[in-house]
Amino acid sequence: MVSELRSTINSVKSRAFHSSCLITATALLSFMLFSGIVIDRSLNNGMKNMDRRLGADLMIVPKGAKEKAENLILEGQRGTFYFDGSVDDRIREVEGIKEVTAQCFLKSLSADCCSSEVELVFYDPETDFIVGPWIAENYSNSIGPDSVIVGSDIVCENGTIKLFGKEYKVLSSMAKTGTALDTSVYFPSDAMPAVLADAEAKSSFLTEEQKDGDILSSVFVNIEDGYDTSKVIEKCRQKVGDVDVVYLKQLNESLSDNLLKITDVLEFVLIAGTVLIFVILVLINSVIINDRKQEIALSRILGRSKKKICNALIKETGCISLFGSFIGCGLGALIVIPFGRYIGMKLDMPYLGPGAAASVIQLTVIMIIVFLISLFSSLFVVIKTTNIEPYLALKKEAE
Amino acid sequence: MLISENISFRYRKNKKQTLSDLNVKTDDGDLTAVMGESGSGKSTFLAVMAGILKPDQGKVLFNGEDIYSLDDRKLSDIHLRHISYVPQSNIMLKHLTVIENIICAFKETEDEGTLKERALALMDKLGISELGEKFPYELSGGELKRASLVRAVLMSPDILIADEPTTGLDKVTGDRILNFLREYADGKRSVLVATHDEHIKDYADKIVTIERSLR
Amino acid sequence: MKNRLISSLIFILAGLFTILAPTVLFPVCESEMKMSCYYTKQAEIGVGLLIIALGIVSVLFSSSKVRLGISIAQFFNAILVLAFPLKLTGLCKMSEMACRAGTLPALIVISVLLLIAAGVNAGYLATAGKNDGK
Repeated sequence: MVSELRSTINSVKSRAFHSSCLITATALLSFMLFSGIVIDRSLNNGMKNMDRRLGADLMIVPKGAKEKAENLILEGQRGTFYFDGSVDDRIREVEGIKEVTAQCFLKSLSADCCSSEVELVFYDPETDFIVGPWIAENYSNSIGPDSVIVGSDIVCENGTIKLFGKEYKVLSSMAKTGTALDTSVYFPSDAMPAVLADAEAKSSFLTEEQKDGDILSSVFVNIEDGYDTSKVIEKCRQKVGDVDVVYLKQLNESLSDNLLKITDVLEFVLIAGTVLIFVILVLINSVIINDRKQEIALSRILGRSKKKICNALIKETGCISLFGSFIGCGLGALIVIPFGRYIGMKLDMPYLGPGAAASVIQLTVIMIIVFLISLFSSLFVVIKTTNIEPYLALKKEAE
Repeated sequence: MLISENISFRYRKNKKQTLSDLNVKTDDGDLTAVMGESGSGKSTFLAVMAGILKPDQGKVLFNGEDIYSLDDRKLSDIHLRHISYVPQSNIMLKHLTVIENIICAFKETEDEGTLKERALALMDKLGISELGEKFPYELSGGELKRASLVRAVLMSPDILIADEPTTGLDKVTGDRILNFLREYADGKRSVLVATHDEHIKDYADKIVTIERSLR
Repeated sequence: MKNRLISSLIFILAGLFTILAPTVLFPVCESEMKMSCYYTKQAEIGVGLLIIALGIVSVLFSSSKVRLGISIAQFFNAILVLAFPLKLTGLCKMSEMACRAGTLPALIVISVLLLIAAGVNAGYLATAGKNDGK
């Protein structure tokens, strides 16, 4: 077994130029497949996660803040927009409204923990149906004024986080969303006056509105079944004045369309690239086998059966494709996994990279696929060559 | 014993009839020389006899069985143990040493140490025992020819077929090879040699002359 | 000779990219305030220059022992390339900041490639030296 492996490797090494051509081609193929599939999966995961996050039918925001609100949903970039603190209660009274919960965002507040900005979200644990579903495990509803929930990317030490000179207990981490929402800190709405006071004491800049305290940024609404959405919105407008409405379902659809476009292009590139590299592999294999006709004929003259020769050649293909796909996938993983966030930001799409287990499975699957592609690319020429009469193969070489 | 019955062969490419109705029998202990002018089909005939070129018509019988009617596995087994062929060109794998080249095809069937031992003894007999660790490109034509011969007889086949084993070699080396072939035949085996070398007449038991086909 | 040129070229390129990554290719966060990533950038420029300098020195020496030593040094330099952003000087805390989204991944790629190149070269030189009986 060991000597067989050694002879396979020796044989691969003896044709250094051809082998390196094959290894390069298979490495390229594996790199393309690995990084392409990781990006494709991550975009789809990000989208799925987004679905989970959009747990409301409508998002009602102050007039003129629609664009900022959409940005918040799509890219997680928080904007600051406010209406007064009683809006949610008034909307709750509208007929046809099933659930209402409100959130308030404070942007651009620098905190002691971090050398950059932390975004603060105040939400109402009593009525909430938006934050809860994102929270990863270990969440109990008992969020108090001294505790917070943090986005998955906020780094906290010893389970606490220091904001404006005050330590808060980190109750739980949110599930990763792949957007900037991962860097928010979530407070219960009761804590707002205290936090604002701390912030002001630490001479953070606050607008007059923010200082006032009784403000809300957006109201999330679920509509009772059987009610016409536009009529309910009309009634809301009558109740609270002119507001902008973000249709989360529509937003979701447009995002899905975008995703589909991107993944379509990606899949086309992957398929076209695979076909192209397959053709290249076939060409390289034909050249190699042509060079090896004599060797194959000699093996047959010395008593190796066609089957044994085919097996040996398949082993060489396996050796090459294993090595090539190891390099390709390794390089792919090295580049695509760390750059995941960057890619998501460049594509303006939620992007959620694969975990370790998923990556390993993917790696294995791609290695198998690359092996099969390499195998098919050589099988035809191998079979054709082993079927030539040995004497004719020898003679052709001699001529 | 190897018998050819009514062998005919025509190359597809130039459509020229190369062999027609050839009947040759090699007996155990015999060195049979196949002679004839260039292009008469000596090499083709040897290849057909060796089981590496299927004739258009006729049979090649080994132990009473037509070797071309056997399946690939059985034919390979015959090549491994019973009928060995030394091609005119010296083909060796470039990346293996001479000794590795000699034994590599048989490693699956026999222990490597035994093979090496046997190979060295044979190489010694042909005067190339010190070349085992060299690579093929370091050897002269005559040395390569002898190494090919060692490879062919390593498994002591019943029938040894050699195509032009002495062509291009000096007389001393040529005689050495012919002596070796003679000795091999004397051990109750048959040797079939195609050659232009008139010296063969001193060694051969039987001479078969092939004439160039006019068709 | 071929090995010497190729390995030195790889070292020099790695050093160059170590400098370019946080400054030009994937610049760290821009801010009036000097955040931790600013110091990481400065440190990477230093390490990058060191890697380039060792790369140049390794072209000049034919002795495989000197080059073995340089390869080992580059191996640890590769670790240093990552140690700055991850431990020693650090980066901004939030993952969508430029230094975490762009600079860190770039430094990871450079560091791992340099680690592999230096490790393989050191292994190659060590075994080649042994085979020569030196």
